Amino acid sequence: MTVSIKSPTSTTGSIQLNGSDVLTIDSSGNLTAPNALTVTGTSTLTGNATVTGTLTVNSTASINGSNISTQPSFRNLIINGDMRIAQRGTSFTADNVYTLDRWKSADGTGGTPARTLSQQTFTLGQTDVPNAYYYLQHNQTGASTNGNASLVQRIEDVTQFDGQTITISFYAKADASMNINIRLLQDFGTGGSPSAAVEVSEIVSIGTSWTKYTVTKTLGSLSGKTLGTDGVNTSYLTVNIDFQPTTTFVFDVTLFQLELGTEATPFENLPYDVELARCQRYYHRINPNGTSGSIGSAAYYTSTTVFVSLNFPTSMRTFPSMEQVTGTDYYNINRNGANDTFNTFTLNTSNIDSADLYVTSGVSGTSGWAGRCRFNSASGYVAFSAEL
Amino acid sequence: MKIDKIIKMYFEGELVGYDITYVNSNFKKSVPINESNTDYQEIQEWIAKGNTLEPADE
Repeated sequence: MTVSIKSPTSTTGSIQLNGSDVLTIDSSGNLTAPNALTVTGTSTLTGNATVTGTLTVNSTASINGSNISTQPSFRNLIINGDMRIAQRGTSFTADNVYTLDRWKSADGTGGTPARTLSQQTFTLGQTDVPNAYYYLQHNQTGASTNGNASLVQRIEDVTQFDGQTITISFYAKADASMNINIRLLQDFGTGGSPSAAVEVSEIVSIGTSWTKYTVTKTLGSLSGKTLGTDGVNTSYLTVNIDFQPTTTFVFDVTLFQLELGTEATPFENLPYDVELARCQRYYHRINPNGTSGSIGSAAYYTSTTVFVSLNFPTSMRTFPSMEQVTGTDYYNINRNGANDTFNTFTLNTSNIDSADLYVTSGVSGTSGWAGRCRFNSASGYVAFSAEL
Repeated sequence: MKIDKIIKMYFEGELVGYDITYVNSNFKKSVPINESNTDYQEIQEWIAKGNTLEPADE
């Protein structure tokens, strides 16, 4: 190896290794590294810096003293990783259902162990899990006989995971030491003959105090794979937390993050409205305000058929299903100075941005009347689901 | 939740979707005819297993 300094007396020059430039300096004093440059200590740039290749920072990068890695960049591909959005409620006992937004409590291979999932909160000022207020608790109250439960989130569009190395990080604890299996499946969607799902997994041992866990895996290449004919938005990466114990246990988790690369960066805190909108791409729920509250505008199509039109707050993944609870006089239409109460809606049409509902029982009026559709019970709700 | 019944829903003679009701529940889903909708996919699987749709509600 020969290291030399070229033209040491000139105002420009270079440092060469084996005859090739590794650092050059021009007449303005700008320093250029034509190849890779690694700085292991602290480096401060007071002028402009241009990186034409990839810049990797394995520690902290800051601009004007602000930590870059804590600024929103949508690097977390998990939605609602801090468990704060709870459109469906905060406690769930039915099996194989969605719980906090985007998180499904799924049955394992045939097992349906009794369990309660709930949103819990930390005491303000706690330091066990930095900058966290909510966590999700999976309380398994019955033994599983022939399969385990799991906590699942599906990330839309498998094509963004073509041979990528990803890093998952999360905080968790359990009431007794236990193992979970972090299982990732690249699913190629529905329709036609999509390729079989590709799986990678890793067992993680969870302790009894809050700890940050990190898993780095390389996903399969998509070369030679076939997507389903129903569209790329039916494909996904499934993130499964498979619980290994077959007895009862309590498992707590929060600040769940999945990002590209080999490093677990600090959890990405998004503004509430942004995180809610991301959730509403998959689920949007209209709740009553007490025993009333608006649902949408209504119009009498005939004397016994009323249409109710709704626009969604954000475009949904696909044409959603409508979900509701039905009950005697749960809903109401104010029209022509009087009310029509009714029990249930039916979905007429939906697309990714809006839906038309109709009512044919309990309503009576004149074709052409306008009205407003409202809740008439605290127990009613109307929701739209386009989950994966 | 266990499915109680699935009903084909028609409006003015046109099939517009399916209504799903569940055993011992007042929860109900209305599912559009859309291949990308996972509820629609589950209905097709439910039918493929030999289950029978309820008579059409016109």
